[in-house]
Amino acid sequence: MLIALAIAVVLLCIGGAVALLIHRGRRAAEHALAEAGELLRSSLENVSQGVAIFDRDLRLIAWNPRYLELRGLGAADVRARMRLEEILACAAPLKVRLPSGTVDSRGLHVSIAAERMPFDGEAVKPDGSVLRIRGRPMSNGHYVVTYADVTDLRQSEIAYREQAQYLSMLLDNLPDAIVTVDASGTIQSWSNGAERLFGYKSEEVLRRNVAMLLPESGLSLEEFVQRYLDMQSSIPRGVRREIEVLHKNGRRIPVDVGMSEMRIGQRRVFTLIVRDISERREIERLKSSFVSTVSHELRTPLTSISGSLGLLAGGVAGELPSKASRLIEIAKQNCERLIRLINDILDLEKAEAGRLAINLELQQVRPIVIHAIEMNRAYAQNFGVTIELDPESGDAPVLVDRDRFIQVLTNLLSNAAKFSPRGGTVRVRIASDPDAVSVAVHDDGPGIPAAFRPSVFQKFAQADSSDSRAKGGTGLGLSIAKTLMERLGGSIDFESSDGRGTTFRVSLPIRHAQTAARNAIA
Amino acid sequence: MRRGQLKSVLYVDDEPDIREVVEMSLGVVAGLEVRTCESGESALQMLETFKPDVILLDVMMPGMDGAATFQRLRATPGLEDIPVIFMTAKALPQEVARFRELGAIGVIAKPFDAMQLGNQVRAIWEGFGNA
Repeated sequence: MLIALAIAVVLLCIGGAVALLIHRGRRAAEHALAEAGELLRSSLENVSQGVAIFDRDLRLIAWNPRYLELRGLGAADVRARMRLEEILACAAPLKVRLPSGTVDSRGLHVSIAAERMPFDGEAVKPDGSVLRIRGRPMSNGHYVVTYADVTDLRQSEIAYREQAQYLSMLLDNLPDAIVTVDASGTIQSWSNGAERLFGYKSEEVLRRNVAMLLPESGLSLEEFVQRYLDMQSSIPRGVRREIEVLHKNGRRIPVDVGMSEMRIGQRRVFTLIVRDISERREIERLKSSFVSTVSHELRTPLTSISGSLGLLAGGVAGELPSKASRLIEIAKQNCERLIRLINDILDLEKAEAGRLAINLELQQVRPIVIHAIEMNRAYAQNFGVTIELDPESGDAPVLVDRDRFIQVLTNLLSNAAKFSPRGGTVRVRIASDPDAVSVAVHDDGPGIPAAFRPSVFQKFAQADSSDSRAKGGTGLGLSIAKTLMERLGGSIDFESSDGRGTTFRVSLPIRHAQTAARNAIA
Repeated sequence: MRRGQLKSVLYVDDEPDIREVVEMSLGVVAGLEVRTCESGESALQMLETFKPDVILLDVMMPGMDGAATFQRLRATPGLEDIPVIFMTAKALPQEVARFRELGAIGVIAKPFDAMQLGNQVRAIWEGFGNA
């Protein structure tokens, strides 16, 4: 009996303990479930997407405010356990674009959601906003529908596409060829302009080396790219070069090539902008030929005129009456002026076309300046003007074409003499710093009028002056001087003030023998 | 090679006015014996009987131009040693270099100073080693 009682007590204790454990476990599970529910609710309320969850019978079991907002529903329109069809009856219908076609939102939910099929679609609401709608079955038989407002994304995509299309049209309509190559010279892109210029379709050149577009001799585009890559090159960014390229039919085409570098991620990409300059070359040739022919045709009669006038003025035909002598002198001077003008036009045309032969030699600048002064001394004396070299003038070695530099100095000295007052002095000074040497030619003339200063170096530029001495020039001298100085690697500038004369200054970089030799090798 | 003083010149140019000016310039001013003719062909004919100290040859002439006339002179026995100076209205540096390469002793640009032409010709002729 006691044993039975003891067993009963033990069983009761065990039963109580088990019941207590079960009770505690249930409470913990309920607590965890409540926490999970709270977490889900909180998450749903805070996501930017609209979410609605339906059970196996397509009854609404969870949703968030964003869902109501995106579907145009009020809080009172929706309640738990509401059937999907009832909700759709309240919401405005949408035309949903699916990969398979467009369907009505009501039909979509009924057919696809009922069959637990996943789907991805988009719909445009009457206000123009775009919804991305996705349906996904869950492993427990529930079904989740999400709504996202992708209006901004779609508009950005449209804007991007339009921009890309615009740029593509722009590139394709440019007369220039635009080609991109990678660091190994492999062609990456090929514009319509490139098709027109080279005659190749893009599929014929893409992923091939740019060397196929180049003739065998001359500075190749490949070398051009390589020199750029080597970083040893002195080619600055965005430099343009004139080279020849090959058309598909083998014809050589003179082109102007500009190059710039882009970095796309880790890749270096080079953009080549290639412009056909055949027409420009032909125009230059015609212009050059025209100028040369016209000059020759003008010189032939001028030879007779100037020769005859020279002989008359020299008394070969006998002594002339003083008035006739004066008239002959006027004709002779103007004939000489016309000859100078023709010579200047020819010089300028050649210099601008880059056909003026420049023979650079390492020379001291001072003897050249002295020679130019001596050459112009007699001319200056005609105006009662003397030319003096500043005794403090220095000297420096320069790499220069002696004859062309004398041509520049002659222009400056004769101008200075012409505009100096009678009895005046033209002062010449050579000054140097470690990098450059300059020759300044100063006159005590009236100065260049302020309004005329900006156009001093323009062709046929002459100040509107009543001073008859100004009329002896061609208006091309300073333009030629500037072009020549640029060809010599130097520069020209001036200072002038009303009534206090003018100083023209030409500068050349100083070149020592070693530098000159190194440049010659390079 | 010394030949004494410059005395005679043949001037070849298709422009009659220029021929006349040169004739006066070299004849009256410089005191030289001057003969002129209008083409390379006529020059070759004249040179059969007249052997000048120097020939002044215009470059641009119809028919046989200055360069072609020069080649004919060099290929003609008895005329091959007569010094030639080209006269040109297109005295471009590259053309001057070309004429010198051909064998001309000098190039004079047109228009020239008619009072100084004789001195110019003498200076070139003497520089060639004929003083």
